Amino acid sequence: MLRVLITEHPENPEYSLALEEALYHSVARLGSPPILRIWRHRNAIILGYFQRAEEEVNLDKAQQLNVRVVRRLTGGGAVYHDYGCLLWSIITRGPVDGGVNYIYGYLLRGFIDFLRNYADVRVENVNDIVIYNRKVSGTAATFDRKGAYLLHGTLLLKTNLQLMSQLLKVPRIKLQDKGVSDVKYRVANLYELLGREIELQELVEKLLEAYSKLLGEKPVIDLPSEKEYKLAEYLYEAKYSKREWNYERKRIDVRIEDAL
Amino acid sequence: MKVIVGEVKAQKGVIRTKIVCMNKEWRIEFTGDFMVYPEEIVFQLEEELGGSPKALDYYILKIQTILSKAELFGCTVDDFVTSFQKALSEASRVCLEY
Repeated sequence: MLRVLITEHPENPEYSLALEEALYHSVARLGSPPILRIWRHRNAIILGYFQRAEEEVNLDKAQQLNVRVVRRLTGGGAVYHDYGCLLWSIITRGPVDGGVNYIYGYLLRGFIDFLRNYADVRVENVNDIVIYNRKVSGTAATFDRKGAYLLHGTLLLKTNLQLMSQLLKVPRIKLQDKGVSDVKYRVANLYELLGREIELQELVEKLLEAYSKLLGEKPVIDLPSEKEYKLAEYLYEAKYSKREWNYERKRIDVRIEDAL
Repeated sequence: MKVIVGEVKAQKGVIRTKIVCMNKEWRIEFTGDFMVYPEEIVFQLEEELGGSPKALDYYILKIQTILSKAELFGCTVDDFVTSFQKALSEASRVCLEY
């Protein structure tokens, strides 16, 4: 069974990220079947695990526009989310020693197969998903040494790229490397590239079809369990609602067992 | 307090080493959009490198030893060493009085 959770808390990205971690622990520790989550945020910047807000975000602009800044449990770069950006996560168990090869060599294939319904897709620079030479998706992941994996990503449909470029800082060293001067140098919205919009329902159906096929599991639309919500609330209180977690790149140790 | 930063652009992501010099003790922090698994090992590395300043060889060996236990994606142990070296060369010059 592939649990499909169309569960979003668009106005509360801190809680949304707490639920993301709770679902990962559910698969890792509580024996949940694989999960495909599809979600969105109204207006948020999500930082990578090793990032500090002041280094990545134009904080004055974010504050002015009431854009929340939340740090996620996976590495990689900062991303801007709005309703025009579809978020997806695949959380599953796999080989104990699969590591990044399992994530990017196998799990990512589901998302690529999904996008191939619409265009020719390439993976560039390790994990950038590229259509017509423009990046439409970024991905990040985590895994433990016991065979639990989480891969999540964005899909730019009709995100406000102008606002994205105003909110996110690009390190000078990256600009030098790429010879460009703007964060939106090569990102693009899928709808713009295709010249048409697609119903969200169709995208969701194609995405769950692709992951169902990849994992060989029958998709079942589901809701988070009581335990998963309880764990999410604990993680929200202990970690994701804290400034030191979201802005200061602090490590916050949580005791998952206590919350269950 | 003085803060020194060294940066490297890896194949995927920036590795930024921050050395915070205070009371002749150094605090080390690695920030950026790099990917290292398990993630906690980066915090372990920071703890091991912090404290009173030491010779370059000590730091390189520590970075190599600790990160050899990790899986790096889109970056290498050498990227971390280079980033650290960039910060260290500057810190050695300006941090001695701190």
